[in-house]
Amino acid sequence: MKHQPQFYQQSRIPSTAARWWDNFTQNKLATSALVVLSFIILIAIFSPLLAPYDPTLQFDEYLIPPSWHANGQPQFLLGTDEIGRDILSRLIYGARLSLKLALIVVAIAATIGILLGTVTAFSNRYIEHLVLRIMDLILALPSLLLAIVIVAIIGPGLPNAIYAVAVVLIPHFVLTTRSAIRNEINKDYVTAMILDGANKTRLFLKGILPNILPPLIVQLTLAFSTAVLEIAALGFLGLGAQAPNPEWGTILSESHDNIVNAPWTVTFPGLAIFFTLLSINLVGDGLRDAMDLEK
Amino acid sequence: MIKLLIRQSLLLITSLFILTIFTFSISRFFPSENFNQQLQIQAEHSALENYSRYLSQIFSGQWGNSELRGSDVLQEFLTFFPATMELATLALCFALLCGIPLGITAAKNKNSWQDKLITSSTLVGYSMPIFWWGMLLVLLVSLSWGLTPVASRLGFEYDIIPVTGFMLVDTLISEQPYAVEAFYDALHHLLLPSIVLGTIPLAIFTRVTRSAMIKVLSSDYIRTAKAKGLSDFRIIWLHAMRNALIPILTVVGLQISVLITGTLITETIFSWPGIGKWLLEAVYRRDFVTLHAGLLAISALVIFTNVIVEVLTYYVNPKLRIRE
Amino acid sequence: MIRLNQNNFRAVRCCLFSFTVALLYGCQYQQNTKVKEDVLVYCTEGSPQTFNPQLSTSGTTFDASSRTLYNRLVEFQPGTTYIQPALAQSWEVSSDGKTYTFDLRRDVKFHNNSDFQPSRNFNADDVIFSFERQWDKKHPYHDVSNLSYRYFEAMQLGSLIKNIEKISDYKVRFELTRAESPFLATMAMDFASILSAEYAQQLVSQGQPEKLDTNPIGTGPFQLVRYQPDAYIRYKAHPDYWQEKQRLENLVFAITPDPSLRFARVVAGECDVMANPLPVHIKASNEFSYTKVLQSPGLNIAYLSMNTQKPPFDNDKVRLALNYAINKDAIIQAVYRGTASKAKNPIPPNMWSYDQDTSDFGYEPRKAKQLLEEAGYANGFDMTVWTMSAQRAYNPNAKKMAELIQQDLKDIGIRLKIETFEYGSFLNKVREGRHHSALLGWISDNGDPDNFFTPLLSCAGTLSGTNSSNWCNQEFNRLIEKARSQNQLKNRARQYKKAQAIFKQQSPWVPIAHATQHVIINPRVKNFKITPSGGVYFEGVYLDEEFYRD
Repeated sequence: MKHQPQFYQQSRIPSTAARWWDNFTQNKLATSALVVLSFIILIAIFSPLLAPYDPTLQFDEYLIPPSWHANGQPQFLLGTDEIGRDILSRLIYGARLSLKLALIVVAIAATIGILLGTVTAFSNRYIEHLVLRIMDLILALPSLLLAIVIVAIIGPGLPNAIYAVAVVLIPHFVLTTRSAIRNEINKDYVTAMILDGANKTRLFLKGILPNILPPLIVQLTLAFSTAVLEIAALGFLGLGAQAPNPEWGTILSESHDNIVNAPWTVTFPGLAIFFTLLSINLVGDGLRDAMDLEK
Repeated sequence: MIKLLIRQSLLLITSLFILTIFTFSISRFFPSENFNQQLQIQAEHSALENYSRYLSQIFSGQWGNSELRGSDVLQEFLTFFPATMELATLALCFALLCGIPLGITAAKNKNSWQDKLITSSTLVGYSMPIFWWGMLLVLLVSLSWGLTPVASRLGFEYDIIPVTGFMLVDTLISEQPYAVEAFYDALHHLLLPSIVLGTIPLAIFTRVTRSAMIKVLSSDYIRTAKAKGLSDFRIIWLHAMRNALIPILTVVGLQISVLITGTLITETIFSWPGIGKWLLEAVYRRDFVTLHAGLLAISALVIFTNVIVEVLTYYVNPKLRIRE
Repeated sequence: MIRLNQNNFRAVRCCLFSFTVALLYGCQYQQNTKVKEDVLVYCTEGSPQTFNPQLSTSGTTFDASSRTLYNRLVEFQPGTTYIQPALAQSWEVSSDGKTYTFDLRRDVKFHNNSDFQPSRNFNADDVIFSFERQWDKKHPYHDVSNLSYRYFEAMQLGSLIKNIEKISDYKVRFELTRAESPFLATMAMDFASILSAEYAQQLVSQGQPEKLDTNPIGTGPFQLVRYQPDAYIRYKAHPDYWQEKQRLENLVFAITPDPSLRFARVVAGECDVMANPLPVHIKASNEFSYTKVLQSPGLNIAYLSMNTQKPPFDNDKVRLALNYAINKDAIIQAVYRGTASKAKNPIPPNMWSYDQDTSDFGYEPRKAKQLLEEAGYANGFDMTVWTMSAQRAYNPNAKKMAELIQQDLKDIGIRLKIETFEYGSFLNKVREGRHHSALLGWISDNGDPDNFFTPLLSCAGTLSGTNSSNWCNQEFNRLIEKARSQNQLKNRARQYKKAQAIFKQQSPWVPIAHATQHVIINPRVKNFKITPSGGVYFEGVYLDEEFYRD
C-alpha cells in the first residue's frame, strides 16, 4: 500500500475553499496584508506576554520621546505619554481591546442582520417592503451621526458604544443576505432540491447557505473594518471607551492635547489604526477577487 | 420625464414620512422632559395623538429652543449650516476634480506602474482614519511648514459681515477694500479641511472611475472610435466619459452621508463652526432638542440630495429615458 | 435637455482650470502681516452664555462681557485685589457701616451703534436700573431672558440691601441691613456691572427687551461689533471711553474649545493670547518663538479637610500629626510640576492680612508618629479620603495627590483609603458632611479675606455645609465676625492675623498648595496682566507694532 502505481492521469478537483485560497494567494498584496493582519491578531491574543509593562502603570518619566530619539530612553521603545505610561504597552493592549470590541460588534450585527435578512427574503411582499424601507432609511443616515445619537440616549461608555455601532452595521447584513438569497432562490438547483422534497430548513442550510457565503464573507470583512474605524472614532470623540482604557481611539483623543509638544503620542496610535484598517481592507479586496464577486 | 418627477417626489414624500416616524420613535427614548415639553408631547396621550402633535410642530417649524442658548434650534441650524455646506462642497469638488482624472489615468494604462500606484494609493486613502489624518496634516502642513492656517474660517484681520453665511460668497460681495484678498484668505483657510474631508470620497471616486472606464473602454463603440483615428482626449472625454459618468454619479449620491459623517470629525479637528461641532456640543451637554433637530434636518437633507442625484442619473443615462 | 457637446466641454474645462488656479493661488498666498497689526486675537475656551454678566456665573461669559463691555462703580486695580474708583469717583461709608453713598463720575458715555444712540451720559438711573433688575422681583426687567441672578443671590445681596436710593443725578445711596465691610469688594465683582437704563427703556418700547442681554450696550473700553456663535466675537475700541480711547483698535475672541488647538494657534501666531493652557503646554512653550508664558500666583488654595466631627479627627493631636506627616514639596513637584507654592495659612500669600510670620510644621514623620502615640493611636488608624475626578484650577490631579498622601501616611501607620467621585456629586456629598476627610480647594471671588474665612471656617459655615471640617471655634468665629463689621483695613488685618494663629494651632486642615495661574501670550502683546481671581482684561493692552518688522 506504500506506493500505488498510478494508472490514470489524475487531477484532483480542488474543493471550493481550496480554489478560493489558490486565487487569493495569487494576489501578493492581499497575501502580505493577511500576514500583517495575522500578526496584529497574534499581538492582540498574546498582549499580556508581549507588552513590556502594564498599560496603566505610571512612571515618573513624562512624555519621553521614542527610544531612537536623542532624549529617548531604551526601556520605553515608543516613549511615554502625558502621565508616564509606556506607549508601546498601551498600543499592544489596545490591539487586544480594539479587535475584541470590533469582533463583538460584528458578531452582534451579523447575527441579527443575517437572521433578519433571511426572514425578509422568505416573507411576503409587504413585510419585505417595510423592512427594506427602514433599512434604506438607516443606510441613508450618516453612520457616525446615528451612532452618536444612540450613544447620547443610552450614555457614553464601552457597552453602549458597541450597541450603537452594531445597530449601524445591521442594515448592510440584512440587504446583502436578502439579495443573495433572492439571487439563488430561482436557480435550477433550488427547484431541484424542492422537487427532491427538501423542507425549508434543509433547503436553506444545505442548498442556499453555501452559495451565499462569498458575499457574506466579504460583507463580514467590510463590517469588521467599519467597526474598528467607528469604535475608534467614537473613542476619539470621547463617547466610546473611557479614559484609562487603552482603546486606540481613546488613546488618540487623550494624546491630542500633546500634538504640538509631543507629536509621537499621536503618531503611533494613528499608525496602529491605519495599518489594521489597511490590512483588513486589502484582505477583503483580495477575498472579493478570489471569490469572483462583482462589487 | 414628468412621470419620473412625480414618482421621485412621491418617493421623497414617503421617505420623509418614514423619517419622521423614525425620529419620533427614537425621541421616545430621549431621557429629557424638556424635549417632550417643547414638542408638545404629553404622556397621557396615545402614541398616535402624540405623533400627530409632533408632526404639526415639525411642519410649523417649531422645533424647540436649544437648552444651551435658549434660541430657536431651526434658526441655529441655519446659522451653522452654511459653514458645513461650504466645507462639504469644496471637499466634494476636490474629490471629483482629482478622483476622475486619476481614475481615468489608471484605466487608460491598466496594469502599468501608474495604475498600480493609483490603486494602492486609493486603498491607503480609503483606510485612513480621518481624525488622525487631519491631526497629521495640521502638524505637518500648518505647524511645521506654516503653509496653511491652523483653524477658523477667515483671518481676523478681515472684518466680513456674514450675509449668506458662505464665506467665499460673503467676502466677494463685501464692500471692504480688501474683499478679493479676503476671498483668497477664506479659500486658504478651506484648503486643509476640505482635503481631509475629501480624502475618503477621493479614494472611492478614483476606484469607481477606474472600473467604470475600464468597462467602457473595452466596449465596441470605443474600438470603432479608435479605428476612426480620434484623439485619446476626444475618445475619453467625449465618448467614454458619458457612459462612465453614470456609476460615478450614483456613488456621488452615496458619498453625501459619508461627507456628513466626516464633517463631525473634521470640524472637531479644525474648530470649524459648523453643524458637526454644534451637534457634538449638544451631545456633550445632553441637549436633546438640538440633537433631534440636527438628526432630522441632516437626514432630510441626505434623502433630498439622494433624490436629486437619482433625477440627475436619469438625465445622464439615455437607457433609462428610452425605457419609459 | 442638456446635450453635452464640445462647446459645453470647453466651458467645463475653463471652469475647472480657473478653479484649480484659484486653489493654487490659495496655496501660494502669503499672510500679509501688515493688516494684522491692529487686531489682537484672544483664543478663548468657549462661547459666552449671554452678554449680560448679571445672568451668569461663568468666567468665560465675564471675560466676554463685564471685562470688555462694562464698568462697575468700583473696580479692582489691574492685576491686584485693591479697589479703585471707576464709575463712582468717590464714596462715603457711614460710621455704623450700614450706608454707602457713591458719588458718580460725570461725562461717561455709553456705546453708540446703529441700534442705539444714547441721548444722555451715564447717571444714577443706570445704577438704580442695574441693581433693581436683580434685586426687585417685581421689576419689569426681572424675568426677561429667563435666567436667574445666581451671583447676586449667592452673595446674599437680596437680604443685605435694604434700600437703593437716588439722591441726585450723580449720587446714589445703598442702605444695608447690617454692617458688612466686604460690600465694596462685592460691588467690584462682575455681576455688579452697570447697564444702560435708557437702552432698556428703548428696547421695551420696541417690544424686544431681551435684546438688552444679547446686543449689549455698556460704558466699557470696547464695544461689540459682531458675535458669531461658536466662531468669534469681534470688538472695537469704544471711541468715547471715559478714561481714554484704547490704543488697541480691534479685539477678537476666537472661540477654540480644544486646548491643544488653542496651543497650536498660539504657536502658529494665529492667536496672541491663549486661555487656560495645560501644564504640558506651559513647559513646552519655551521651544517656540511666538510664545511667552505669563504667570502670577492665584488667589486659591488646595487643602486636605479633616472632618472634626468624626474620630479620630476630633483629637487636636491627630490633626497636628497629619500636618507633620505630609510631604508638601513632593506633592508640588509631582502634581503641580512646580507650578504652585506651599501653603501654610488658610488664605493665599498675595491676599492682604496674610500672616507671613506663621511658622509651618515641616515634614517630620518622626514627630508625627510621636504625636499619634500621645493621642493614643500608637498603631495608627484607618482613614478614608474623598477626591474628585475633575481637573480644577487649584488642583490639576486630586487623585494623584491622594495617592502621594497615602504613601506619606503609611509611614506613620495610617491606612488611607481613596474614594473618587465625579465633581458635582463630590461637592454635594461633602456638603452633607458624610466624608471622613476630603481633598478640597477654593478660589477667591472678590479678593476679600472674608471670602475665605466665613464660608470655609465659620460656625455658620458648618450649618450651610461649606465648612467641610465642621470646625466651630468660638474665639476664631468672634474674630472674623468682628473683622467683617469693621471698615479700617488695618484693624481687619489685625483680627484676621489673630484668627490665622488660632487656625494654625487647631489645624482643622492640612493646607497644601496655592496653584500659580498661567497665560501664554505672543511677545508682541504688551501690558497684559493676569488677574488674581482668573479672568482676562484687555483694557490698556496694546500690540507692539515693531515686533514683526525686524
